[in-house]
Amino acid sequence: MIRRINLLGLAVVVALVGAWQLAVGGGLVSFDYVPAPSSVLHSLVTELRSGQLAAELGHTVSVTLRAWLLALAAGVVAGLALASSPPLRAFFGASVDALRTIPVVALLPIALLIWGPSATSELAVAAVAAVWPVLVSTESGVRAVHPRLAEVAATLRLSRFDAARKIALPAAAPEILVGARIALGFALVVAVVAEMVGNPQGLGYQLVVQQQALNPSGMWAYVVVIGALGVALNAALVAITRLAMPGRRHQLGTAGG
Amino acid sequence: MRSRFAAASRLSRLLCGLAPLAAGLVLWQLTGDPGSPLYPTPSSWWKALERLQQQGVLLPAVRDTMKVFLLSFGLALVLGAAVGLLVGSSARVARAVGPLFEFFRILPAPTIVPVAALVIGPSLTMSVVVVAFAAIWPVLLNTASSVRSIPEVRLATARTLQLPRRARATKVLLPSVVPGIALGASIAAPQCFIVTLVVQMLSSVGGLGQLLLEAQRSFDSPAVFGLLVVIAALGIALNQLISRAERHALRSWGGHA
Repeated sequence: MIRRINLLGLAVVVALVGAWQLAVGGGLVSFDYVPAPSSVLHSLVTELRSGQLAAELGHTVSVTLRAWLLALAAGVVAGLALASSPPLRAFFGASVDALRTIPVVALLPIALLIWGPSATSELAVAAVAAVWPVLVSTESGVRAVHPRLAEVAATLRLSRFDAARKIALPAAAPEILVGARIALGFALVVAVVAEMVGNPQGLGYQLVVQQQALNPSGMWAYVVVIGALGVALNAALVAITRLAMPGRRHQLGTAGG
Repeated sequence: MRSRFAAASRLSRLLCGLAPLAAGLVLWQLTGDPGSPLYPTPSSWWKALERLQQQGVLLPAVRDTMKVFLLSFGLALVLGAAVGLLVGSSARVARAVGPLFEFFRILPAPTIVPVAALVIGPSLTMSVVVVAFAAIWPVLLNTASSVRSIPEVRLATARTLQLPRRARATKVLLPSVVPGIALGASIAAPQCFIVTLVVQMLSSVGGLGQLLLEAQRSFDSPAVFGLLVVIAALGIALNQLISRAERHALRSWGGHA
C-alpha cells in the first residue's frame, strides 16, 4: 500500500523554510544566533565532507540500537514473568511502578559516577529508559491474551516455555511492538542527553560543542540531523510493524508521544 | 464500608509491592560502607540532603524546578488545547501542518536546549519556552484527534437545536475534547518534568537538575543519591496527581476517548 504523499504539508514546510531564508538572508530580520537555512545547509555539507557527521551519527545510532535491543530482551522477559505470575506481580508490581516513575535523566549522574563519561554510561541509562515501555506493554499485552488461548496451550500440553513462545508472545506482539516503538524514541532521547551532559561522543556532544563554539549554523545542522534520525528510526519501526503484521494498522496512532 | 475495604486492600497491595524495594534499601544500609565513593548507604543520602538544606540550596532548587514545571505545563496545556482545537476542526489545516508537527513531535526535545540557550539566553523565560515546547505535542495531537472523532450526530444535534456559537463551544465542543486533553496532559506531564531537569542540567538556570549535576561533578555521591530520591518522590507525586486529575476529568465528562 502506498500512502498518498501529503503535498500540502510539504509545501508548508518548504514555504516556511523559504520565508526564513528570505527574512534572514535578505536582512529583513536578524537575530544573533539564528542563521539562514542556506548557511545551516552549508555547515551540514561541511560536516558531512569532513566525515565528522558520519562518525558522530554512527556512534549515536549504534548506542541507541544496542540500548534498545538490550531493553527489548530484558523488557519482554520481565513483562512476561510479571504477567504470568500473580505472586511476582503482587511483590514487584508497585516497586516496578515506583522505579518506572523516576525521571531517567536523573539516573545519568549516577551512571557517570560509576562508569565515568563513557559510552557505557550512555548505553546503561538509555537502556533503562527504553526498558519500561517494553515491560509495561508486554505485561499488559500478555495479560490481555484471551483465556481460550491459554486453554489451547493446556490442551496441547505445551510446556511453560513453549506456551509463552508459541502462544502468549505472538498474541501480544502488536502491543509489544507499540511499546518497542516508544522505547526506541526514549533510547534516542536519553542517548542524546547523555552525550550532551556526559559522554564526549556522538551527535549530542557535537551539538553542545557547536553551541559553545558560538557556531549557530553548525548547531542548527546537528539539530536537523538529530530530528531526521528520530523520524527515520520511527518510520523504520512503523514499516517493520506493517510488514510483520499486515492488516493490523490500528494502534499506530500518534497518541503514544 | 465497601470502599473502605477496597482502600485497605489497595494499601496493603501497595505495601506488599513496595516491600522488595524497601528490603533492598535496608540491606544496602546494613551491609554497605557509608564512606563508599560509588555506593554510599541510604543514611548518608539523608545526611547529604541535610547538609544541602543547611547550605540553603535544597528548597530553592525544589522551588525553581516546580516553578518551571508548573509554568510550562500550564502553557503547554493551554496552547496545546487551543492549537489542537484549530487543527482538529479543519482537515485542510491538519494536512498542512502535519509533517511539520510530526517532525517537532519526534525531535528529541533536549536538542533545542542549546539552541534556546543561545537565542534567548539562560533565563526563566528560556526554560519555560523550551519545556513547554517539549510538552505541547502530546496535548496538541490528542486534542486534535479527539476533535476529529466527535460523532457527527452530536454536531448535527447542536445545529438542529440552533445553539448559538458560544453554547456550541461550551456545551458540545469542550465536553467532547476534555478526555483528549486529559490524555494528552497525562502523557505530557512526565516529559515536562524530564525536560525541566534536562534544561537545568544543561544551562545554569538553577533548580534540582543543576544541583544534581554539580553534585556529580564534585563526586559528592551521597548528595547525588539523595537528590535522586527527592526527584523521584516529586516525579511520583506529580504523576499521581495528574493521573488522578485525568481520571476525574474522564469520569465527569463521560469520556471513552
